[in-house]
Amino acid sequence: MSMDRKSLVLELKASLYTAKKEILVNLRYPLWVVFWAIMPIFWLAPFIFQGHALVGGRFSESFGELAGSTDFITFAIIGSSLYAYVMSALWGMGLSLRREQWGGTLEMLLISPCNKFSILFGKALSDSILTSFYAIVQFVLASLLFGASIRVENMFFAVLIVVLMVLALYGIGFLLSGVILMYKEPGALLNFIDTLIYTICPVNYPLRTLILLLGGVGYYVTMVSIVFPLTPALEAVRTLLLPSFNPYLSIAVAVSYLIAATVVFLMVGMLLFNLVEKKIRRKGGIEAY
Amino acid sequence: MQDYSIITKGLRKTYRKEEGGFLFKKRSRETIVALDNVDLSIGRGELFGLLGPNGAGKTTLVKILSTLIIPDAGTALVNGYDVLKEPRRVRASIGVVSSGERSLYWKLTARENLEYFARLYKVPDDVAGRRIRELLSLMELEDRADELVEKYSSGMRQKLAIARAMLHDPEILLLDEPTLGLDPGFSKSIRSFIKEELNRKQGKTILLTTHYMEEADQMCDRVAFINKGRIVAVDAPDRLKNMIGKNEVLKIVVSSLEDSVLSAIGSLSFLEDYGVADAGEDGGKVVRMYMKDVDAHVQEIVGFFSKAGCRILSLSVEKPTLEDVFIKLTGEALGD
Amino acid sequence: MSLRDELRVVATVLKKELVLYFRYPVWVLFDALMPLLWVLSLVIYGRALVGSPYSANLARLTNTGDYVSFTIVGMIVSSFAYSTLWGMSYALRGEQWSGTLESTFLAPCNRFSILLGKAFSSMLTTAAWVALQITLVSIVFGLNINVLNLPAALLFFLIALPSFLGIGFSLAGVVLDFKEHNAFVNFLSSLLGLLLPISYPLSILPSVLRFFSYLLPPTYAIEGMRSILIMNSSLSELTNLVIPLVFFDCFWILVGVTVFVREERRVLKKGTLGYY
Repeated sequence: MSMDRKSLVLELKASLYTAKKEILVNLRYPLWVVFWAIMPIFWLAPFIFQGHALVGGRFSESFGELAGSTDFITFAIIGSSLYAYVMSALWGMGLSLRREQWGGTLEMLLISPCNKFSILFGKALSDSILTSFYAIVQFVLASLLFGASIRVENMFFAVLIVVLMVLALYGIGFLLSGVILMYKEPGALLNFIDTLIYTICPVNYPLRTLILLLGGVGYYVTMVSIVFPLTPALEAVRTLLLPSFNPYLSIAVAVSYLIAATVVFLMVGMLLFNLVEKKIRRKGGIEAY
Repeated sequence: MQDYSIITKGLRKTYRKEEGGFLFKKRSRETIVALDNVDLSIGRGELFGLLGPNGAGKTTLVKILSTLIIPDAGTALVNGYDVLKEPRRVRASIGVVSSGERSLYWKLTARENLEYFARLYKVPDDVAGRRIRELLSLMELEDRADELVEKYSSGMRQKLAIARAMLHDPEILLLDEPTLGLDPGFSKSIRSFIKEELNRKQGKTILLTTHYMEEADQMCDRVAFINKGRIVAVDAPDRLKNMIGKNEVLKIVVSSLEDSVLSAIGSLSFLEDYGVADAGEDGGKVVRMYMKDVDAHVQEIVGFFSKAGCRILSLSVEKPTLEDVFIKLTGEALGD
Repeated sequence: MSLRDELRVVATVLKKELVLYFRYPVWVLFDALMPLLWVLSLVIYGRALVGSPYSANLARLTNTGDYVSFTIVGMIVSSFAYSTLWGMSYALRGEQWSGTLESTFLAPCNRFSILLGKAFSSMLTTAAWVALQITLVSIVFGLNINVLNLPAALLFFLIALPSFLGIGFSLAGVVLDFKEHNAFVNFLSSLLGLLLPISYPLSILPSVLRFFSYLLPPTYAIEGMRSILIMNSSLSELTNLVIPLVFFDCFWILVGVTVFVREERRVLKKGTLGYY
C-alpha cells in the first residue's frame, strides 16, 4: 500500500516538474508570451468591426432574437476568450510531443520510468496555466477596447465550467498528439480542425443561426457542434455572465454533458494515445521526420 | 604554367555564436574559426582529396567554393571565376554532391528530380532527355526511375545526387563526404565510379572531402590535410606517408591507458614517434608506435605494457598510413 | 542567362511546386475546404446580425447592402494577396525544412526566377480554390457580381500585382535569415485581417487604423475590385486607386529586390542558408 502511494507521489512530482519545465521554457521566449496574449484581439476585432458595419451600433435586434441578448460584442468577447483554450489544446498539447520529436528528446521521455501520462498531464497543466493568463489578458483588453457588459457576480461558477471544459479538451489534445506523432505532418490538419471548430461552434454567433441559415443540415451541424466541449461550455458561461442570454442548451444540460465529456474524452484520449504509441513503436517511427 | 581549376588564397571564415543576453543575463559570444588562411591550388583533371576530422572546415570550404557561403577574407577562383564577383558562372561550372540525402525532393521521382534540375541548369531539352537516360543507366537507377525518392535507400539517393551533379556536364565536381553513412558495398562502388568513370575516363577535376583515410589514400592524386581550419600538409599520398620515414608501425590496442604509462612510452629509446587514439566506446586505446625494426623490439614492448598493468587486446604490424601522418602532424585522430 | 532561359526557370519551378503540392492529397483537400469554411462563418455571422442577406447600414455606407457579395470580393482579393505575400516565403522555408534550398540555390539562374515560380504556383492553386468558393457561394447563397466586368477586374489586379510581389520578395528575404517564419506570418496575416477592408468598409475603422490601411496595396486592390465587380465602375473612374497602386508597385519592387539581395548576402555570410 505504501509502495503504491510512494509511486503515485513520484508520478505527481514528475507531472509537476514537467509543468514547471514547460512554463520555464515558455518564459524564455517573452515575445511569444506577449504575442499569444495580444494576437487574439486581432482575430476578434474584424468580427466586431463587421458587426458595426452591418448593424450600425453595438446592439442587434436580429441577434437578440437568436441569442436573447442583443449585445453581440460581449457575446464575441466571451467566445474569443474561451476559444484560447481550444487553440492551446490543438497547437499546444497537440503539437507538444511532435516538438519533442523534432528536438530529439521524445525517445528520452518515453523510455523514462515514469508513466507517460504523468508527462502529458504535466504539459496539460502548464498549458492551462499559460492559457488562462492569455485568456484573462484577452478578456480584459477586449473589454477595455470594445466594451463588455457581464454579470461579474457569477464569475466563480463560470470559471468552474471553464475548468471542466479544459479537462475535456485535454483528452482531445492527448488523442491529437498521438495522431500527429503517427502522421508527422500536423500543420494542415490542425489548421483545418481549428477553422472547422471556429465555424461550427458558437464563438461569434449563436447556435440557432446554423439552423436558421442551413435548415435541416444546420440541425445536424448543431448536434456535431454540441459534441465538442467548447459549445456546451460557451452556452453555460454565457448563461452565467451575459445578461438576457437565451441558451440553446440549458445550463443543467450543458454542465451534465461537460462532466460526462470530461470523463469520456480523457479516457478515450488516453486509450487511443496508447494504441497509437504502440503502433508507432511497432513501426519504428518514434524518431524525427 | 599549370592550368588550375580551383585556386584559393588566404581564405578565412569565422562563425560567431551568441547565447543568453535576456534582460540582465550576460550575453556570451564565442568565435569559431572554420577556415584559417587556406591556400590551395587544384589542377585541371586532378582528383584532389581534403582529409580531416569532423569540424575541420571541409564543408565550409566546399560551400565557399560553391558560392553558398561568403568568406570573411581571401579569394577563391573556380574555373577562373571569382566566387564573389561571378557566382553564377562559378555555379554553371560546378556540380556539387553533399553528404546526407536531403538535397533531393523526396516527393518527386528520380526522373522528375533530374528533369527539374536540368531545367534550372539551362540544359536544352533534347540534351537533357538524353543525359538523364544516360545518367540513370550509369547509376543503375533506370528500373526505379519513376518511383518517388522517399522509397529509395540511402545509397540510391546518393547515386541520384551524383547524377544530378552531372546533368550539365560540369568540368569540376565538389564532392563533400559523398560516402558518409553508406554501407561498405555502396561506398566501394561509388568510390570506384568517381575515380574510374568521372576522373580517369571523363577527365573531371574533383575535390573530394572525406574523413576516411582509405578513401583519400586509394583515390586521390594529391591530398591536403585540414585540421581546425588550417591546411597542415599537401602532397601525393605516397609522399605524405614517407614523412614517417622508413619506419614500421606497431599497432597495439590496450584495454586502458593511464597517464603515467602514456608518458612512460616516450622514454622507450628505440621509438621514433608514437600516437594514441581512442579505440571505441569501451574506453580502450590504440597506440601506434613508429620504429625502425619492430621484430627487434616487440618483446620489450609487450613486457612494458604487461608490467604497467595494461591488458593487450591486439597487436599488429602495419605500413604507415595517412592517418599516421595526420596524427604525427596534428596530434589528433581522424575520427571514426 | 537570357530572358527566355529565366522564363523557362520560372515555368519549371512553377511546375515542380504544383507537382509537389498535389502529392500531398490530404493537404490539397484541406486547402480546398478551408476557404469554404471562412466564407460560411462570415455569412453565418452576417445572418445572425441582420437576419437577412441585406444590410441597410452597409448600403448606407457603401452603396451595396449585399454583405455576402461585398465580403466575397474582399476574401478573393485578400486570398490572392496572401498567396503572393507569403507563397514565396513559405516555399523557401519548406525547402529549408526538406534540405533542398541549397541545391536549388546552386543552380546558375536568377534567384527571382525561382521566387516568381513559387509565387505563381501559389497563386494558381489559390485561383482554383477561389473558383470553387465562388461557385458554391453563388449556388448556396447567391452572388451579385457583374461577370462581364471580370476582364477589367483582372486588369486591375494585374496593376496591383507587382506591389504584392515586391512585398513577397522582402518577406522571402527576411525569412531566409529570421527563421521564425510561422510567428511572423501569423502576426502579419492577423494584422492584415484587421486593417484590410475584407468584410467591412474602411470608414468603420478608427482613423489611426485607417491611416495604416491606406499604406497597404491590398487595400486599394480590394476597393478597386469591389468598385468594378459590384458597383460597375470602369477603370478610368478609379484613378484615385490606380495612381497610388502604380506608386506602390515601383516602391515595393525596389524595396523587395533590395531587401532580398541584402538578406541573401547576409545569410551567405553567416553560412546559414540551408539551416532550418
